[in-house]
Amino acid sequence: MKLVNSLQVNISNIKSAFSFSPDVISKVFDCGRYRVAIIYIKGLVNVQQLADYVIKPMQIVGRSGYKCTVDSILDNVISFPETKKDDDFDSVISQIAKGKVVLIFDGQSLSYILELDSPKERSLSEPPTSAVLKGPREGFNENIKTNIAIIRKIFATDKLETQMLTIGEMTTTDVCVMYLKNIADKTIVKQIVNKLKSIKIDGVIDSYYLAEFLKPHKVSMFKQIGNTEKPDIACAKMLEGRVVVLVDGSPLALTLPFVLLEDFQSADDYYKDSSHASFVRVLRIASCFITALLPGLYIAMQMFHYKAVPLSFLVTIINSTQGLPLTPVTEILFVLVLFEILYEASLRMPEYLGIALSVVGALILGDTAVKAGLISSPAVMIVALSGITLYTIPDQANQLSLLRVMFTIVGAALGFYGIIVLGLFFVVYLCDYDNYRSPYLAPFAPIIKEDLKDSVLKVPLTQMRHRPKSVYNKNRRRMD
Amino acid sequence: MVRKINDFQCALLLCVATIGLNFLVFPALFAKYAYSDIYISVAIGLVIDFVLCSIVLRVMKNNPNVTFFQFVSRAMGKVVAVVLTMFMCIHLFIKGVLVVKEIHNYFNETLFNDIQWIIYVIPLLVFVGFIVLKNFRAYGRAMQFFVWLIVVAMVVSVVIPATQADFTNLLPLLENGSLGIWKGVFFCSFTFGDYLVLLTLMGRVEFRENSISKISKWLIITDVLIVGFCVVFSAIFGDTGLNHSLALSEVLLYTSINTLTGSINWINILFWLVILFLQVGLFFLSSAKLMREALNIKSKVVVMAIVVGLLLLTVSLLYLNLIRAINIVISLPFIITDLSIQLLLLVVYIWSSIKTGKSRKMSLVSVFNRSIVKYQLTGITGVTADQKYTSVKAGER
Repeated sequence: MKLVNSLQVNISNIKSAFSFSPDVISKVFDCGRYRVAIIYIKGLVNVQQLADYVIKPMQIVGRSGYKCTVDSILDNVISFPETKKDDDFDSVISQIAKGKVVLIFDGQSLSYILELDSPKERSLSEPPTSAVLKGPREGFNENIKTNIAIIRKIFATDKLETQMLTIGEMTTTDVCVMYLKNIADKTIVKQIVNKLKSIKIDGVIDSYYLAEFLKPHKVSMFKQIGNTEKPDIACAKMLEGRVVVLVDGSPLALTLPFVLLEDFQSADDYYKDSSHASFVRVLRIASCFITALLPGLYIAMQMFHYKAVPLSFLVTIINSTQGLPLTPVTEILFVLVLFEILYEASLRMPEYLGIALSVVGALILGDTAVKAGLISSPAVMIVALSGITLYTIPDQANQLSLLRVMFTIVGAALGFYGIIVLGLFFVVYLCDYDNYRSPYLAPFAPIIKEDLKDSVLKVPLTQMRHRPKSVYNKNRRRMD
Repeated sequence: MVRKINDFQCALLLCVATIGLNFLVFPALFAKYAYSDIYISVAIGLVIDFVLCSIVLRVMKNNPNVTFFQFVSRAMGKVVAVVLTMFMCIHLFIKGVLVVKEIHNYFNETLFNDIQWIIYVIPLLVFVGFIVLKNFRAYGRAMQFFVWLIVVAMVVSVVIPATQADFTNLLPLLENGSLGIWKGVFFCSFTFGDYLVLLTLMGRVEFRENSISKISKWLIITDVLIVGFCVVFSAIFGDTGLNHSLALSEVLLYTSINTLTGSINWINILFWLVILFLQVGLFFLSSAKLMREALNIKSKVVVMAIVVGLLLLTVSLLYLNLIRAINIVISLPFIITDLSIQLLLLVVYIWSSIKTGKSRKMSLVSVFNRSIVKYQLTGITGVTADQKYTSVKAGER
């Protein structure tokens, strides 16, 4: 539907589209030879600026009796750098809903859209999920324009390319695809943009809504799309040839393609000595295995392979498990579930209560359960150890906690046999997993020698002369 | 579209196929014929295998985009190709079944007192079913993921027992004559023949300039470790090797150093289980791929159902009795049939490669001749016979 020549009809249609909502404001006044209407939503527009830079100058012109044209009003009276013309009724409605100011002149079937929106936005604080000891502390916020500007500030180059899309019938959310055009692979960019364009959904509230659509494997428990709340990480990934997707209303930027190793690399690693970074990475990888396998191995050894347990530890286990009402597997599963409940509860509680709850849970509840003879102290220790190690790789916590339960169950049912078969199952499964042409387990499977420089061990930055091979990119050379 | 594997993945697949049987039951079987000279028997068998692998690799490199089935059917016709491919499929399937049984015995010897039949078989069938649905690229990558584990397990299994072995047990050489050695090679021939795995990979490997030498290098390292293990086995058990039917676990258990380093032993056991399961997967995956191509089955799921069904049937019939299974593969009728068909397969393969090479040369020559005529017509000829031959050779390369 298009706008019509009559100002009254246009105003009435717009008001009717918003069901005559009282917060939709329309102000009509004279400006030169025209009757002009300004339409906006109260609360979404900076009213002071609107009055100072739009209404007042136009009214002055109106009072002066000077008969100027629409173009000269726009060029000389309202000096806005960016004024968009639009004659599509639905588009005009959408722009008003997004907090833009619409200017309609009588006798014209055209509207002029002014950007005077000033939504309240959060300051650029350090994201709670990726705090660093050293390095930039700036994080994204919920405003896409601010987020784009932060990235633009880092990449002061014309090589940074952005593609804007609008997704969601009801929310008409702005989505921005960003990449470095001299590095990112065009096919991958095209693939991502096409996937985004094909999304037909009523609303996009957070970037995770899009992540679900961008996943190459729809049904999988493994993480397939990278995400970050930090501009420095997003930019570092773009320098490796990845594509960043920003969504209005979400502080979480999506990064693609994703390989598993990314979650073992922390931003901290690049802002400190490479030998220490390597040491921490080894710990992270060991922690990953401890988290997923330790409870399962403990159960398997306790139930089937007690010969594998060192004698002194075996004696401790026997002494502490004597007279327990629960079987070893139910005992471990009980402690695991208890741990998950405590975690969920402390997460949702107010901060001051959360700390108290975790202390009560960890110290008192665990200790009382052991003293009451409900669970054994080795079981608490095993689950606690696996629980602590889980958060050395926070981005993989969801997947690892699921894997931990699976390995515990197969360890209890089949011993080492079950653990090995399940482990092989997952490895082969992940080896067949290509994420936008990047092998999921690269650079270990397949082995990519060049990329091993930034894997378990991290060499100094000066030796990383090429971008990772595991992510397809046009320009491999990083430095001379 | 065929998802190709690289030369390193090919080498690892070949190495894993080679090690499993050689490290477990077969050293004891060799001892039945060759006594303390089993390593000579094994070495001879591995050398023959290596030579055959080298021939196959060369043919594969010259025909990088053709599978074994396509290769033979183009040269010899579809019927011959179906027969030979199905033979390979059955051969690898039986190998897979043998390893399945070996793992069961290995479990009972090392990890469980007596793992129940049903508990052992159900997860295994699920695992095999899953692997059969995958491709060689995924499996090759999995091998790369576990490469360090494979290397550590092999080295530990040879080096740690070697420190405790009594090498005087190996002397005198050929105490019981050389006949036993050849008998060992003949009766235990089923443990060799890993070039068949290589044939399965034909058309699925991305060859580079030095691929053959790279694959050969890995194969030689594997063969050396296998022979080394057999040397250690003989040095520890001497003439009584026959009584130690599960070589891998017994070599580790009988070396006193492992009682001091128990955790190394356990880690080694777990590593070996991973390798053995990888090997099981490889044999059944190869078998499934061959069956699918030979019988032209479109659906992967149907092939998976057939392989899993056959495995269940075979395992049920033999009721996980390793001795019964081993007795079948070392029986004279089985060996004669198996070796004869292998020989026929090799003859057909080499003949097909000669025929393909000739036809390629012919087509190149005809293309060249046509261009000569074209040049002559335009009056700019002057190419000598020698130059003509060189150009054809270069084109072939």
